[in-house]
Amino acid sequence: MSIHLRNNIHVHGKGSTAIVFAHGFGCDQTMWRYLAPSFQDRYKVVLFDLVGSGKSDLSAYDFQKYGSLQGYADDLIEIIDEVTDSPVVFVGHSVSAVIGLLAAVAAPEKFKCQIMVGPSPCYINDGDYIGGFSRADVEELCDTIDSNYLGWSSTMAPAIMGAPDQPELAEELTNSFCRTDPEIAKHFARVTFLSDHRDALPKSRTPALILQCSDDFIAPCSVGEYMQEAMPDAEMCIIDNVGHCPHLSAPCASTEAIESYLQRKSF
Amino acid sequence: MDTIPDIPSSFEFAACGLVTTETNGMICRANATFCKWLGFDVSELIGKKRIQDLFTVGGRFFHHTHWAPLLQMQGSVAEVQMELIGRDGKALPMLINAIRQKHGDKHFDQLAFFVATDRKNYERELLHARKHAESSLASLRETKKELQESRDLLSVAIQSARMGVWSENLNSGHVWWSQELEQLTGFTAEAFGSTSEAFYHLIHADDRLSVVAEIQNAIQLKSDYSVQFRLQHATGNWLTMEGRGHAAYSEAGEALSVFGIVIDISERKQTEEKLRDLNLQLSISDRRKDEFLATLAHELRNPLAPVRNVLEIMRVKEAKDPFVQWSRSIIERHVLQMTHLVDDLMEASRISQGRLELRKQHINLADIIQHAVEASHALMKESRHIFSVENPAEPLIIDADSTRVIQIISNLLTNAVKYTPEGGTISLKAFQDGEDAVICVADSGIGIPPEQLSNIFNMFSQLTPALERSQGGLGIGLSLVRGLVELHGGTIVARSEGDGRGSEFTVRLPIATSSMETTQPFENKVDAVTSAKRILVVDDNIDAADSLALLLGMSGHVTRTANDGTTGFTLAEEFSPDVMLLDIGLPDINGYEVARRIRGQAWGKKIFLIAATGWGQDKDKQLAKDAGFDNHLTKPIDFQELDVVLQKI
Repeated sequence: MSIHLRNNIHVHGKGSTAIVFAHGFGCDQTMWRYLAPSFQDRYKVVLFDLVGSGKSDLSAYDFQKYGSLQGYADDLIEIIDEVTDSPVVFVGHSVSAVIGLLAAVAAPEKFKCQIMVGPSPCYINDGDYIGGFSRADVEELCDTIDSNYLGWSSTMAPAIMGAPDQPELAEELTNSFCRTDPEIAKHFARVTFLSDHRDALPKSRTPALILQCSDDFIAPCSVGEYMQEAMPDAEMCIIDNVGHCPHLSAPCASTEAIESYLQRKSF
Repeated sequence: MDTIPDIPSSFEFAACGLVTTETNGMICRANATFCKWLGFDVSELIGKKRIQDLFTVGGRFFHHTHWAPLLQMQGSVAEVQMELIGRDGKALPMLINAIRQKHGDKHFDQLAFFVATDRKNYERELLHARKHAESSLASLRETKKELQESRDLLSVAIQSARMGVWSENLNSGHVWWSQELEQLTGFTAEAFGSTSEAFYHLIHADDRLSVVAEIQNAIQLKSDYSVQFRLQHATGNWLTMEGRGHAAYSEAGEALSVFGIVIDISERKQTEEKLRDLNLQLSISDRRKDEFLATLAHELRNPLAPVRNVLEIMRVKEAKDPFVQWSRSIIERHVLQMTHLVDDLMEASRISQGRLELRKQHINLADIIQHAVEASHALMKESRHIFSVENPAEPLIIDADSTRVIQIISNLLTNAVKYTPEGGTISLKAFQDGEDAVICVADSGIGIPPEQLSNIFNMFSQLTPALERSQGGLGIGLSLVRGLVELHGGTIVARSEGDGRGSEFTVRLPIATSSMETTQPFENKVDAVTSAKRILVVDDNIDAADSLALLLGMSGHVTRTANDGTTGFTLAEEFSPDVMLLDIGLPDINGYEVARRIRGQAWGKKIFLIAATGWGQDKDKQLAKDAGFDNHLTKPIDFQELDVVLQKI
């Protein structure tokens, strides 16, 4: 299958170095709309959807492969190979920051640096480690997702519509809130919020910039500090922002922080 | 009083909770409905709580991952379902709409809340129903897939069994058949035609009517049909097919449709034919073998007769020389043994050819046993075995040929002696068991290995062991015993604990059902002196004729010999004998013809004619009687037997 279709890859801009943006849990590549355009003069901007999200090929969603974040990291390496021969600047939001971390550990030669927006290697409290949540909290999140994804499941939609030959009709139905299949959304939520990749942090020698929001319910400052200490070559920049999506609610500050890091490091 | 409520009051008491927040979620206004639902005083909310502070942890999560980005990007979110925590800590399910609006330089979010307890319940039901529907759908798909798989499997089975399936709707005349049937005929869909007539056309003209008739018959009788017919393959070759099937009927009993399978049995047919040919060849070979054995036995007996005659002469002559006496006794013993062997072989082959007839009479088993024991007496004594006999407590009457039953018992005793090392024990028991008379011969001999037990009664069964043991044999004796026992409607079983542990043979013969007078097996011999007679011996075997004549001469008779029929006839007139011993198988005219010619002459009426035949069957005896013979003896002529006949004349 074409990797372009599988991950709904879009490439813009000019520049020898590619900057690859990966969205977080809950949305798709459109969340980069305020940030990405600033880079397309100097970089080849690469946007894509994780399999199971946005306009990716839902039929490629293999519950076993994507039962761990490593499955997404393998996809990321394939995407990079598909679009360029040289190392890339990688920008990952939330869960995608961890996906980028796993890919950079597996294939460090493909990465110039990794920009981690609101990352967390582990959401659940574990002894001295404060991820911010208990297992019960994550279960409740999954319930909330469940009740907000009343969209028809991909197995059911064609049968209800009675038109398996016209998949676009089914797509209309599931577009109402998010384009995701509820089963996939729930599975992705579990894989994301129950994951623990703290052990990957010291293994990543790729230079990293952690963009930490000043008030982020999902990835609190303590998590950002933990990561910076655990990684061999990481800087942290705190952005004054309430919430988990500084690229949406504080796009200028986010862009500035990334630009200055890249310039300083001459990437 | 007739004015509508003012806007502030409409706001405060609206049918939904209304809240205004800053973009970071800080509450700057909330109506009374909202405050009342959650149990807060408005002063506890404004400037003090962000809307997400009222959400559950999961809700706050969702607010971050979905709500906030969407509100940011599309300016609104609609129909979000979330639980809000009231002042008392209880969660209240709510449905929320939100829009982002610019007011002056600043953005605000306007939120509307609806209590959604019932809706949440309905949705839960709905979700439950959906899950159920989905799993039903999944299992339907699975079933369809399995059905398809089993159809595929069936198709493979049908193909490899070289079968085809068809059905005909008797009302519409519509015919359906499986692809496999087409493949069997070698025709593609178009060439195959689409009607039952087209199929019938492929059937051999000679078989067509019977196929139709069989199917019609089965429809009427509501039974299964099974019919064989020839079918022309696309290549022009004829296949042999078997058709089976039956009809389906309405409740009223009217035939609706016919279902059938067609099986290509060409290969099976060919194999059957080959098998039949092989079987035929095998039975021909088997018959030839039996004929060969019978002829061999017969041919072996003939040269034995003169040898025995000469031995008898030698005995009568009483040679003085001890060396000659010793030599004679050795030859006599071995000739006797060989005679027994040849006799057994001949009779065994007669049994297998179905040519042995029994002369059944009601006889007392004890009498028979006595005779058999007497016959084996010398042998027992010689081998120094301890021999015991146990007779039945009550007389056991069996309907049997006494000669044959003696033969059975003697053979078993001879066998026991032969396979028991010197000084062993041998026992013979007879008793009644239910409706059977049981004769049991046991020995302490070399025994029978288990793997040979079932085989031991077959002729030639001992061929291999004969090479390993000094005491071997062709296995003719036991084969004859079994044949004789079975001719009497009885059974024989061999038992042995194995090598060196003795053997036991148990014969069961049915006890006679009707009570008839028993017959003495043999008439008591009357020792009488034979008066001298004129005897003419006609036999093409010159040695046999001469030695018999010499032997008779030594008993005081006057004898002549002839070696063909014509000479015999001429000599009979010339010599005018009292007795004429006439061989049947003569080179020119046979013995029956000679007898008829003699009886046709005035001088020939009084001659006592004795026929000597090789086969000794009733048919031969009848022929002899018809030709005018007075008596009949089986070749080779036993001198003692002949002497008994001569004494009676």
